[in-house]
Amino acid sequence: MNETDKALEERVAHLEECMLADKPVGAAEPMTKRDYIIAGAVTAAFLLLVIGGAFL
Amino acid sequence: MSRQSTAEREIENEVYCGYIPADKSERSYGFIDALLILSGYCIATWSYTQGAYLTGLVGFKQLLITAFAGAFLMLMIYQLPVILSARFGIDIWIWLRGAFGTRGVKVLSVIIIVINFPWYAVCCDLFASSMLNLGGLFGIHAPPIAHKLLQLFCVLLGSFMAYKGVRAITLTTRILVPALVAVGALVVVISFRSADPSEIINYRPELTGMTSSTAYTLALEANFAFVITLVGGMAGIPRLCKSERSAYYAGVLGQGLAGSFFVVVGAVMAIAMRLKTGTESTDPTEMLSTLASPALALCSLLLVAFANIGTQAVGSYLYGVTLKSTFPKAKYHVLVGILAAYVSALCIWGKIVEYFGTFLTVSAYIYAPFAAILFVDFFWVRRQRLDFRSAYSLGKSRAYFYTGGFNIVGFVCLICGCIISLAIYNPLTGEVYAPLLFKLTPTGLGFLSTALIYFLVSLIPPVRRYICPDTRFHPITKPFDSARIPPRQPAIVLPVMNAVCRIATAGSHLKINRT
Repeated sequence: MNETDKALEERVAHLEECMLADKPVGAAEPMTKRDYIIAGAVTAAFLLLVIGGAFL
Repeated sequence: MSRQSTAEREIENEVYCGYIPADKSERSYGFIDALLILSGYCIATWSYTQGAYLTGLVGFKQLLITAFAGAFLMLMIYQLPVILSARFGIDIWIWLRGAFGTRGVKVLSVIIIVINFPWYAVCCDLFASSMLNLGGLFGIHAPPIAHKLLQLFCVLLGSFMAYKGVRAITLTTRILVPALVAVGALVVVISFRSADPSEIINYRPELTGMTSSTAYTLALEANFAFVITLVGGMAGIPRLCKSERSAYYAGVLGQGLAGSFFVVVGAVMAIAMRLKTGTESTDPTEMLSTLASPALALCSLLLVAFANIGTQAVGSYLYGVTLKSTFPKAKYHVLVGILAAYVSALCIWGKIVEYFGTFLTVSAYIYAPFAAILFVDFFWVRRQRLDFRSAYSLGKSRAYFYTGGFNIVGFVCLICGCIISLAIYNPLTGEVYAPLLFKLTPTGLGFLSTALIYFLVSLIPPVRRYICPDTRFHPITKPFDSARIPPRQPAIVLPVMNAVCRIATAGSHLKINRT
């Protein structure tokens, strides 16, 4: 097994470990519940704009 | 060079070129850099062409709504799964091995690239036209072969940047994108000064053969289809981002703000041109040279022409990473070379602009169902958990091999979504078959229907067992977990089952050992 394959094995093992233990992977700052709510609200606002635009 | 540093470099190459998950130390992008790269990808001469097309359908106010709100609406939804790329440091194509199978993603990635790359050939064509028109303004008349050579120059320069890797692209976009945005703002000012601003704002097209409602839906559809084209390569940059939030919003704003801004710039120019000269044009060179002084037009066009090279570079990188994720044994540099050869062949063929409408139509009907399956698979089917060993086919883990390497359910849902989109609107003849459903737009309906179909079939127990064979991550708890709760069968069925088992095993003369 070469170094690249070893690196892949290690990183995949880390990802699986985090997933099975239900803990964050830690490589990137995760989205919070608040972020999802904001994204949902903004999407709804754009949907209303698009619907409203049809009546202009 | 020591053996250690060679190995580290190899690993780094595999990380930045898409195959190995990127860990925390390799996350090089904050929000601004990711935004600049994705904006650099979206800003190209085709934005002007799209803007000019929209002016034939809707007035200025509706154009603003469809270009910005329409684009944002679609982007906010379909880009949400990029958080998986930021979280795990992988391309979406690694995840999609679960949804389409380990061989299925190979076929699908090639299809997506085959139908997406004509965009780049158009980009090169526009670059060549712009440069020749600019030469014409200065009295330089090049021979016909110059057009093809300039097209190939655009392909080669863009591919060379992609070949040098993501760092070269980052540096280029840091300079190019702010300059392009400044040019865009300048073009808007020029256009508004060359015609009466109130006339531009109150502009309404003369529609022939369609109602204003159909025209609005078509404008919305054009923007949905325009922004969803990035879906195949959308994770190339987010997987290197430091936070899920910056990865998501960089993708949304890169296309929704920067890309749409240039669509509106193209529209404003087209309206100003119509009001000033009474003629219609989709060629930005012609429009700018008419509306602005030659010197200003030269500066603007030169930058916009080079934006096409930036688009070619980012596109080659993103789809090189896509191919690397689905064909891990191939070298990234070879894959970029193959992509360059494909675009070059399209440029030499020379008829891509003529057949571009067909390419665009075919692609738009695949992207939406594809994006829907990714969305539902990540949030509801696999619930953000993937068997990575199977996805990477490590050791003997082959859970995502399915049926000969293809997840039949995923492909059936994809085809259903395409058929539903085609069932409401024929883009070649412009015929609307289902006016009520057409209000959702073909791309919107394709997305919604595929999402619904895939979600509903995933609730059927045998289908769920088939599409989620990774039981370590998705234990089957319904209708019962056999390790905890014994199965319950209706009493009336038990004698029938007993008889069937006896008949089935009668030939084997099996005996029950009761010791």
